[in-house]
Amino acid sequence: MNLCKNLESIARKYSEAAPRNNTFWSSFDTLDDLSLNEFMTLSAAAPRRLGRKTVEFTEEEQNILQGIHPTLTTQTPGNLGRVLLAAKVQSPECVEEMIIRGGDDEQAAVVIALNLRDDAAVYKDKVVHACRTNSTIVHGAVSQDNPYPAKYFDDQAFKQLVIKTIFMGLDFDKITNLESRFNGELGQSLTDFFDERKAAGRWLPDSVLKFMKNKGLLK
Amino acid sequence: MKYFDPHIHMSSRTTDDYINMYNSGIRAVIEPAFWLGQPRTHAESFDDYFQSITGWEPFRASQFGIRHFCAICLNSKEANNEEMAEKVMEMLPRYLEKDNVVAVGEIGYDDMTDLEHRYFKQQLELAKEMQMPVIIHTPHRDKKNGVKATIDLINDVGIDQDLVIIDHNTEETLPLVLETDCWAGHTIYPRSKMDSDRMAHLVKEYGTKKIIVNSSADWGVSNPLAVPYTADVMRKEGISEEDIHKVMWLNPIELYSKSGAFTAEELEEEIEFDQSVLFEGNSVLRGQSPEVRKNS
Ligand SMILES: [Zn+2]
Repeated sequence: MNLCKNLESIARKYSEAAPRNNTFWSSFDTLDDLSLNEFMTLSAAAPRRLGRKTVEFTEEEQNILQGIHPTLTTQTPGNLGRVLLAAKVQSPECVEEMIIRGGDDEQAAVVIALNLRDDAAVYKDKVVHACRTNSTIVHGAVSQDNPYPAKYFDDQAFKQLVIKTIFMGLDFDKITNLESRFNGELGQSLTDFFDERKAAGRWLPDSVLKFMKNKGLLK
Repeated sequence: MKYFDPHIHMSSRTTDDYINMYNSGIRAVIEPAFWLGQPRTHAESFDDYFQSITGWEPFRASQFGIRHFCAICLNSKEANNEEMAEKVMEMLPRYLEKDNVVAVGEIGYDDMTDLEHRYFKQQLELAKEMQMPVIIHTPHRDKKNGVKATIDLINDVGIDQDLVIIDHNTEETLPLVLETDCWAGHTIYPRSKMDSDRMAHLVKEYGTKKIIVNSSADWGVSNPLAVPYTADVMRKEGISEEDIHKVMWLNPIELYSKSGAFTAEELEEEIEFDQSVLFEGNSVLRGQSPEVRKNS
């Protein structure tokens, strides 16, 4: 798990200035001894203990973070700590709790961290459920630049994700591996959505129209 | 002028309120945890409520250019259900660490029962241990004795008084609070307790030090614009812009930034919000024309 190690050293480096960072790292070092409640408290507290402000990463660090997820390059040390917690904790129960009942930034951190876990597949239903939010922070973390949905969601859930991404005004072009999951049913949903918007005198974003045109969905 | 309403229950309010508040200059609010007009019957309902005021509500507020912070607690009315209260107490530490949480509150006495006393004390101790501000509600009935008992308990627990705000003061109780080092909150209600004219007179008489004004708007008859409205009344009464700014912006920032959840500097910056990004059918905006404000 090289990515995890790298992420950890970046988080450690930028949390040095935070006065209470020791209280985070000492718990982190014994992560698997924590109860569910202690784990969730640590996740909630990460920004206050590691730093709430964005920092300037070096180019090399940016590349590492980019390799995990593009949004990490603009994250605070606290939120990097949350990604790390979710990536490293053994207990699937802790991961599930964070997906379902973390705050928006915690949910965003864990759905990114899943890509660093060997057992990523088992959380599929929980991630699908987390997408039933109207917070663009959470939905964006799943739908934007995240390989997880295309890899694990079933057709129905993936279709929902695509339509809701457009509905929420998030970036259609940032749905990872959309092409690999395209099928007739998804095409039909896009067509229906287009017709519905047209009837209301509204339009779809250019990126969606371009995609539909390529797929022969626009008459 | 920018205003801070440090006590308002936004999850009971509408998006129209958010728009009017923004247009009146309100840029930050605090939502203390309280009861919902009827007692909850499951401890888990608190869990989802805390989840909502630390998650969805700050997101919703941010769509309208307003920073939303909250306070977390077991409120006094529901402290009287012991079995449920015990479970809620266990939830608190986890929520008190969440990003937008600035205080323990609103706790205090309601009917002044033994159970209210026990959980009030335990939560003051928790605030002391976590070095967090604490919002104390004072009872509607028998207020003066309620305030006296509250001050006794604060002294008994030994929490730093500079972290404590005693809320809902009147002409009768304010002098008692000003004898301590606690902050003094004033709620402007459309009817009872305190109105804007009386508030202006209190500032004239006692000055601005440790004085805070809020609306406490909730699901009942209340005015979410009470803070800017009172500022206007104070202006007409000849109170200086500097003093108004102190009471309605700087004072709440000084108190609640002690939580570490924000700094004064951060609050001076407007939040970028572009509702047109969400316009095409988002949750919060359903078809009306968007309000756009971006930092250049
Ligand atoms: Zn209240």
